[in-house]
Amino acid sequence: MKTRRFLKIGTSFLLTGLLAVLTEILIHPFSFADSPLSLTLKQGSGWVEFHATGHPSAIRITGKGDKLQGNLFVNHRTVTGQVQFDLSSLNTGIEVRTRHMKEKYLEISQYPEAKFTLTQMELSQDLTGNTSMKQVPFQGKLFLHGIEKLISGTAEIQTQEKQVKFNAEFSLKIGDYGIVLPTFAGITMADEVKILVQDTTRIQSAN
Amino acid sequence: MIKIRSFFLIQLFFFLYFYQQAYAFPWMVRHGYVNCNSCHFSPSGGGILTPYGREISGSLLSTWASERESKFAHDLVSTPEWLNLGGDIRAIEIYRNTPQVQAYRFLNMQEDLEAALTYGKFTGVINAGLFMQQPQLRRFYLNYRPSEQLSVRAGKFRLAYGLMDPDHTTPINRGLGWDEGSETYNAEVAWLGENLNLYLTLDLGPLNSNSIQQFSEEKGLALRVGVPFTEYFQIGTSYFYGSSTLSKRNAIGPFLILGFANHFFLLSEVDYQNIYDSLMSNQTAWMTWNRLDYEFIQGLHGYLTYGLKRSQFQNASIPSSQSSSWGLGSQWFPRPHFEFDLKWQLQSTPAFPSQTLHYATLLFHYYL
Repeated sequence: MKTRRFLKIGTSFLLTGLLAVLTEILIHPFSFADSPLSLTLKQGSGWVEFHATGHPSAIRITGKGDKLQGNLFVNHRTVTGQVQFDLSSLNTGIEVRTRHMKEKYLEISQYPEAKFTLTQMELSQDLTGNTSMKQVPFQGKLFLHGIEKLISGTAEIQTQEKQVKFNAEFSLKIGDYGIVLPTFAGITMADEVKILVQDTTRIQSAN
Repeated sequence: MIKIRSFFLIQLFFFLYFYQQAYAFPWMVRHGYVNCNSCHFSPSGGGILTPYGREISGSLLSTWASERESKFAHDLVSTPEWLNLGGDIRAIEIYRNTPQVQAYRFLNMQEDLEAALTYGKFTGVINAGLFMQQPQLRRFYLNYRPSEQLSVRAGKFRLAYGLMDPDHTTPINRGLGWDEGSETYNAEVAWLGENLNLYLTLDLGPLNSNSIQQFSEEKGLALRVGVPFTEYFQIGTSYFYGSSTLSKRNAIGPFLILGFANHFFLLSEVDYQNIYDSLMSNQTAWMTWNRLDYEFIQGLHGYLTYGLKRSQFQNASIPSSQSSSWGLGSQWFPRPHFEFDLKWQLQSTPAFPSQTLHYATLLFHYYL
């Protein structure tokens, strides 16, 4: 009798355990969910773009560069990390304008890089399976032209087959970074500049 | 024989390009220039360049340029900040091959000088010179800019309608009666914003005009609205109401400027026109003009054009007529101050319905 009861209890435990394991597998197909993740940004896969306006006559000024690299870490939906951007890769599409931007205003011989340290970003979902998150707020410190300032923005994040794609957007005032307002032949650029960043990378375990 | 041929080729090369007026290039939208007044003193574009426009003519428009080459008179003459000067020389060599005639014709179209005088928020512009070898005061106006976006202008200038492309022979210009020399006396209010440009023009007529007779005493009202979107596109629509002793008319139509990439763009405009209260029966017409352009290297463009004008398509009792043309061309801005435009067109006209006519032009433009 006792042996049969033990067998029944043992079978129940076994089935319950099996069910729990199956449920875990079905709900969380990747084992990444609770372990720290790493996102490595390599040069060439992403870009940084700025949008500004020249006055008078509302000229739309844009520039784009692709030398973006860095590492981000995801731990229990909290994202931190640092990203560097080589300012020499920026191009505005007009040679003279690009040269003036780098030499007179960004002074890239003295300040060749912009660094962004992500200090606060909470994801609403795990970076597993196919997910899509919009308007995810973030905060961080941007080091540009020798000055570091707090900035905040929003990001759109999509994951698909262990790849994550993100688009981040924030604004800054170049005057805050000690950059003189660019002016050329009667056109002056506005202080506020919108920055867009896009990259795609693999989701890897940080361990 | 060789000398004659060389002379002809040189003449053809240098002078096949002059059937255009000094208007702006709407396709600069693809570089973020949503308003014409970035580069021109005129709020609706064309004519004398601003200092910024001169810089852009060297750094963005031309294949080659040295540092100060694009300045007035090649930087040989300097002017005070309140005074800007300019001028244009345009000539064209035309080749026409029809069942009736095969001919070459050279036209010395324009030699003029233009000055812009700025005092505070006021700018006065005056343009005078020879047009088709006739002395004319073609353009003069006073422009008041109370704010960056708002512009008020009065004087003699071409009213804002549609793409405002420089080629005045197209169906959307000539077909609507706005050919070369169609400047009128106007009062204009314009909003030149980042996300909207709007021109409302009261057209008081040309007073003394060499434009098409039917519209020579016309007065009217024009509205042009353009909406730039994303970085490289602009869509818009225009409306014109005109009234003369001979007739009244409405013209309306959309236009678009699509910069697919920095080097690849499309200009397109379609217009509908209805002429009524005329001694003759009412006339309806629609016209379109399109240009697909690829910039191979900076300053060197290759393009395809298609133009069509179809009249009386609504009235079954009157036979309709249709003119159309396909064009293949190349426009080149080798250095600041110089422009060449070579175009070959295959035309179909009501006069020769079963024939394809050949029409080629080589335009030369020097801007001071």
